[in-house]
Amino acid sequence: MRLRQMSSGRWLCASLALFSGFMCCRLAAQEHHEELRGASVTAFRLSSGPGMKVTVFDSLALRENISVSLSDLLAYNSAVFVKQSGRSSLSTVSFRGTSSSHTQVLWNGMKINSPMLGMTDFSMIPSFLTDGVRLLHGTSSLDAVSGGMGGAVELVTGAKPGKGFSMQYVQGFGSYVTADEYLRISYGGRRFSSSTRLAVSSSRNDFRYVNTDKNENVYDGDMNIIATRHPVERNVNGAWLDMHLLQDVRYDTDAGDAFVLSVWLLRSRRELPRLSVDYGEPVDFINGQRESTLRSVLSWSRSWGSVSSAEVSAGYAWTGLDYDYARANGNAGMNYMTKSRSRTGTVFLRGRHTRNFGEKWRLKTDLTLNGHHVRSADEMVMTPSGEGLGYEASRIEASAAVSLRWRPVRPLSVVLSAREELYGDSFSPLLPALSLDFLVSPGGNLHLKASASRNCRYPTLNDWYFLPGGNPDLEPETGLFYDVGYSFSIGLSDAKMSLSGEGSWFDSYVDNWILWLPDGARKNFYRPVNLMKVHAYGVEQTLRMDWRFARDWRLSVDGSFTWSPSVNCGEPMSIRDDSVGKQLVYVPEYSASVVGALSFRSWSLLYKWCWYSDRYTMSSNDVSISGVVPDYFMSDLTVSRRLSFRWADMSVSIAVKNLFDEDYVSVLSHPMPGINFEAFVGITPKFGFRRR
Amino acid sequence: MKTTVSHGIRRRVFAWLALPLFSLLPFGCMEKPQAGGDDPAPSGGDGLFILSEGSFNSGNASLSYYDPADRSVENEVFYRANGQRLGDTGQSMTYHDGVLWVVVNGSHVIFAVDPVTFREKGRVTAPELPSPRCIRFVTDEKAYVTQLFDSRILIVDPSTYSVTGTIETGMDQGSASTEGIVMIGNDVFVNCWSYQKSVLKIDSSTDEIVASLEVGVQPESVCADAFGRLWALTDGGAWEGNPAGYEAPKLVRIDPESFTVETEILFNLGDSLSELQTDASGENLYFLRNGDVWKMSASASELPSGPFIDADGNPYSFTVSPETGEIYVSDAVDYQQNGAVVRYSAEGVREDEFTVGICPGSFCWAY
Repeated sequence: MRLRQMSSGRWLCASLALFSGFMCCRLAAQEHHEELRGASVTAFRLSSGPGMKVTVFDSLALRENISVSLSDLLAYNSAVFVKQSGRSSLSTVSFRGTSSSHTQVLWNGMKINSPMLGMTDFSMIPSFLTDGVRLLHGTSSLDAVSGGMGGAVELVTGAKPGKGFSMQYVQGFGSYVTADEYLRISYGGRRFSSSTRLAVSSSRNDFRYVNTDKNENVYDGDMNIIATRHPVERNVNGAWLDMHLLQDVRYDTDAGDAFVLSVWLLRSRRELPRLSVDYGEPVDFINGQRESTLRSVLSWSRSWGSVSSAEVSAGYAWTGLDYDYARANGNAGMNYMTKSRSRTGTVFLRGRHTRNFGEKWRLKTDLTLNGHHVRSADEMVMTPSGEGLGYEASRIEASAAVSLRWRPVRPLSVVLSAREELYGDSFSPLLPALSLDFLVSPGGNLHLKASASRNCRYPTLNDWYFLPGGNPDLEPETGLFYDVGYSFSIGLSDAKMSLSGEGSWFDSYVDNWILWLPDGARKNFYRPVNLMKVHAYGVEQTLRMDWRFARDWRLSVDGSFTWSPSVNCGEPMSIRDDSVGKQLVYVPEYSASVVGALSFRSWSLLYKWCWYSDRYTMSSNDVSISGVVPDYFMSDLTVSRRLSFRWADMSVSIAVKNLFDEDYVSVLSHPMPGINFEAFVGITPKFGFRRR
Repeated sequence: MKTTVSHGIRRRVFAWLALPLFSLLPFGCMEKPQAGGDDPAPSGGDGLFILSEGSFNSGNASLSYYDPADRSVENEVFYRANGQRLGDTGQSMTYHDGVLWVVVNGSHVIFAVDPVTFREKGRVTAPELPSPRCIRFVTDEKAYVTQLFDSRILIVDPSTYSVTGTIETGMDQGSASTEGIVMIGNDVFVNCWSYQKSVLKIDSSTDEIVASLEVGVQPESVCADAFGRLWALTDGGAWEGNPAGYEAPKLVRIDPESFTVETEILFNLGDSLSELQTDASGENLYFLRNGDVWKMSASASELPSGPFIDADGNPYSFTVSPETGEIYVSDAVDYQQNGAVVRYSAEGVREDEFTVGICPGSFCWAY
């Protein structure tokens, strides 16, 4: 029997017992400092093992996208698929034709996927709050966590700021009464450093659009319709107010120890916009969620020359999520239909260790423990005991991983790793991975890569326990993953131009894919089932060019292209099931993005473009009126200028989003805005300057 | 008053945020041209309408029309005739006086549709309509509308498409549920399904609830037989832990006059029951049990030994032709693709099938 309820004492004891066993650790990230035109930029050089497909965004890339959420950043700058339910609404990320719950997200090593839902809302993660982002594609994700059937996203904070006091403040103001504030105050000393970041974003988000999904009728005196038209409507109930506070404190000893404490507070109130097919009268209604989240991680790390390194982390996360749905009842009152309340607590412990044995061998070990406790209820449906209908459950998730790298000759690296997971009282199958990396040409830094692995994702707590519908008999999803590819980077024309790229072909088979489906005829609830077998394969290709073609001019272009058929290859549910052999719903087969940045002295022009092919809304891939979400191109343009004064550096920029006023949706019946604007002013005072 | 992010809070926060660093910016967006999208549908008439629920929160409910005379089907007829979407979660239909009334639950609307042209004739929208389920005409001038999560049954004037009154049931709002409607004589009977146990009796002349009868956990559907008796089918709660209870589903026969239970027929605990109805004669009862169509005489005192139609796929709903006695069973397949309707003869022999929309959940004969 799985561990449904566990006393907090036993829970804590189990955590401490495992934690006491953590003897091994490793340093995950190294840092280097770069002074750029007076601005201190710290970039994390996140390690990536040989044969791994990894996309890295350092703080420089994040700084260029300070005003966007991570979902926007990834949509334009990577090969992943970002599904948005609306502007600043739920945004999920999926790799390589998988679903959003197949993307594992780590913040300073701690998994932040909801233990209830399994996914992460990327619209709740401002780029401003991260110092480094790493995308681990496919097999690469096993280096950090299990369950990333598509991949994993690693977020890192705690980078050491530049010396002395510094401050950065950016304010944005844009269409639909959108206001953004970003403030960072940091201090860097020889041993002690601190960084405080505040991000506040709010918007009325009431953009206007022509609602082509419905008609507005004009009646005569006898109530006959004499004319119709598509109404011009506003996006109703789309407002948000998000507040983030992130505090990093770091202490470095002379002996090489580094202690980092990161605390992230999030308060959010978001309305969920009305569907475009809501014909109801414009009565007052409530459809929104409130989230309060605390995440904290304390870590110690140290390296002993080139011999070994270690890291130990402990963390705690708590999330309170309230969802209300109510409509005015016509009698000056609100008629509540849902009052969902969920509280989630997670204790996290991790130890990692890396040891080199000469130049040829490296051993990495990783022990991780997550303890989740969830209480979830709908207070509008009361049980006989007087409590809301829901569940309360705990689950321990432990993971042990060993990785051995062998470099028999200098150009060749072989990594063999294995991971074992415990969730509840069940063990996962052994998750082995093999990666190869061969340096073909040192001149062009041309590498050939290959990897193969097995991975698994266990059901979420909602999958098991949600009432009604939870299915405790669900099996974990398991899959086999294969990957071959190449990467290169070359410099041309006396280092005025550099070109780099990476390409890979991937192939994966996932069994026991979990889907929530109605539980038979005329039942008012859904139930998760292990239904599908999915074959996802395809190609990812990225290319980057950086060209200083004239004095003071610089052009950089990043491009990515993904072809990712993701096909249901299981058994048909019935003789009429036409979904076998078809692309999964809402997974684009093709996607591409290009980001071009042109700079001249203090001016810069940033153009971002992305494209998603048609997405099917039916498992049978019917091309009918509602069966397809049409493909769309999205273009954003930003013009910026830096101004430098004796007392401060300033920046001014204007961003045009949806430049060509594309009429599009990402999800059926969820309207998206047309062309819109936002302007930003940033100021970075130069503390310590002397007035002459 | 919208309370999720109150205007007051927003104004204060915004005023604080919006320091006057910027004053003159273009905030609006370009207005797009209106789109047409009409794809004329062929005319309908005396036939079968099939309402497909669509996927929840996707707004892809659809209306299909099947002509039994030439065995042809036209899908998406509402969109094609009107250039607008039917909405989110198509729930049920009623045909009355030459007009098809289509209840679209998630879109908070009831459309009046011309069954020949498929054009919209009007729509009922009202603040009192948060979650409509079924509509039933009590007279030519008055219809009742049942709801989920709302304790009121609405009274609608079809000539003005307006709500003229309500009947308060007294249920708690969060678990309130009124569902199917049957009229016997001057009395209207309503089953209260989700988290409920009762059938209500309403005097249609006074629009007042005159009695309530507890029949079992979650009465899913009701119908009247040829002998003037009322039948209710419970689903037993459908899942263990249901606050309303979890018990063996049952078929309950009720005397509408005395409003008392005459007999009960028990099913097995865990059985899935739904869609109780009669044929045109009213002498036979039909319902779905564990995915099969069952038929029993309204005079029988026990269940038949086996199902009438061993349906394949995921049977979701069905109807019995009032003219031929043929049975049309919908298959929701995997609930994510277009469903099918399979036609069986009056004897339960499979004849043919046709494709409709996602989750075909309601049938209505337009005569």
